[in-house]
Amino acid sequence: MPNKSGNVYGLTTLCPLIYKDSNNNNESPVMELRKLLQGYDERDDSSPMMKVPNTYLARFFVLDDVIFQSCPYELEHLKSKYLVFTANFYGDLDPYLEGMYAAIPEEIKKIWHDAVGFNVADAQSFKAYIKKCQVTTTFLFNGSTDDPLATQLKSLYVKQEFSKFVFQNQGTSPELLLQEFKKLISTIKPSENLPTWKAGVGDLNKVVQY
Amino acid sequence: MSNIAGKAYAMNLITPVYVSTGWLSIFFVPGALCILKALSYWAGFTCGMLPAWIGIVTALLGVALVVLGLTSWLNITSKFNEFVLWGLGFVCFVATSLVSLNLATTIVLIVFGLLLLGVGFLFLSQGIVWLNRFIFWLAGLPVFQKSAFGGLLTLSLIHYARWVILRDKDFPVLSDNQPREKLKYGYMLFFSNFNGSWTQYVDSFSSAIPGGLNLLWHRNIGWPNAVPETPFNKYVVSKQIWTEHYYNAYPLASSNDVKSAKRVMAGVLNLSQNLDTISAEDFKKVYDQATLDLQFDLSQMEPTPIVSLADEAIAKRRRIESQEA
Repeated sequence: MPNKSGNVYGLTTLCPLIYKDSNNNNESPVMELRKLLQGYDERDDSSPMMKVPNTYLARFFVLDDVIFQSCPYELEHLKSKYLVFTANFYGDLDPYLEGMYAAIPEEIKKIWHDAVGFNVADAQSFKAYIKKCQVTTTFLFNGSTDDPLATQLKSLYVKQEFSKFVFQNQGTSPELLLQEFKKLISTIKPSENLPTWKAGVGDLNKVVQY
Repeated sequence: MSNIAGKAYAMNLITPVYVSTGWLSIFFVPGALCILKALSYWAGFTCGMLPAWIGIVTALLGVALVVLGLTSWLNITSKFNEFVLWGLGFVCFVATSLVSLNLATTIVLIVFGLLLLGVGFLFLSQGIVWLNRFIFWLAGLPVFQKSAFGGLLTLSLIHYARWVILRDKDFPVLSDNQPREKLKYGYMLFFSNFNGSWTQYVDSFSSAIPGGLNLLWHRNIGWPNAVPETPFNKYVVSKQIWTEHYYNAYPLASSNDVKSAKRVMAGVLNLSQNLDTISAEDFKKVYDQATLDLQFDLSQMEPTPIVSLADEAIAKRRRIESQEA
């Protein structure tokens, strides 16, 4: 199945956008959409995708037109603009979209407000809409792991803390080393869900979730 | 505008792909001619007469096919070689008309002709885009994956990447009022999530897997080949679309960090067994062995180094704003 590689799903959607201004102001819906999307910033933790379970990476952009290759090739244009939404996530499409709608229903309505045929009122209609906009991925390359996001984040947290530990305990006596390692394990709890890293946080002072 | 989320960079490329059947139309012509020749023999055989008049009909059909090929050539952006190859098809027809056939040869011709026709129609209906999809399917098979994507794995700076090849009929239509796309070319979308700067990535690609790139972008219009780098970089710049919003679940981590964290986690879980019963000396031995095994996986992650001047400018402005606040 080209949309999947192992447990990783590669969702690719092209959502046609309404051209006309539906809000009676001077800005096109596409411009409003661009402003909305560019307002989300991972540096201030404002991305709605942080709340969507199992999202590794996701992106939004507006496809205005196809790109002209220059003469002697023909100039051609798209008849619609498209909101391109792609996501790499763990698992299957249905539970992912259900989780997405449950996590950010209001943001979904804002982002797809000016999309053609977007009459979404619940998770089922959102799933149906996204599937209509989905195009099949020809090839998905996985250069990372395909574990659940929570597993990846917990592993990153453990790696960070254990790396610090190894650095700080060089040359330590066996007795003290064992004692300190027990303390580390009781703090980082590698077999438990918490503490871990928060999804989407890029600040070392805020990344740990207890 | 955000192509960058922590250590990850989002690249979106859209490149036009030839739809022309090109040289592949050669499958169609001899295939059709094999069938026609076989039919003419069959008609002659069952009617007990030499297929002279049928030969004339098949000749006319052959000419019609060549005209069809010419029309196809004229309507497509294409090239001189298509005309030449359709002409070759006509030569094939003439050649087969001169050969006397027996029943067994006829059956072989029919099977062979049907096969060629099938391939020919496939290419005529799907165009070269079908071939590109086939290349990706082939490259994705375990037996070819290492040769096609081994370089990408070696580069190890990619989280995930994908290629999506579209014809105009593949663009979603959500309403009766939405106009259908009508495009002459196919289009290949390429989405990549990688670590480092644009320049590092593009240069790494060009130098590490030029052959693989040339294969994956086969028959993309204007593709300059992955080497030399200057026209390749120009091509990438001209086909890139900027991302409005990019989200990364682990902005502090690279793809290598995610992979190494999995190994570190396994090592730490293993070390944490029997902590209440193990002696300090024995623990030291297994600890030293574990750190030796994990020496390439241990590192502390930090916020990303500068990957673009714009990104750094924003970070600087935010530092100033936070100090002022």
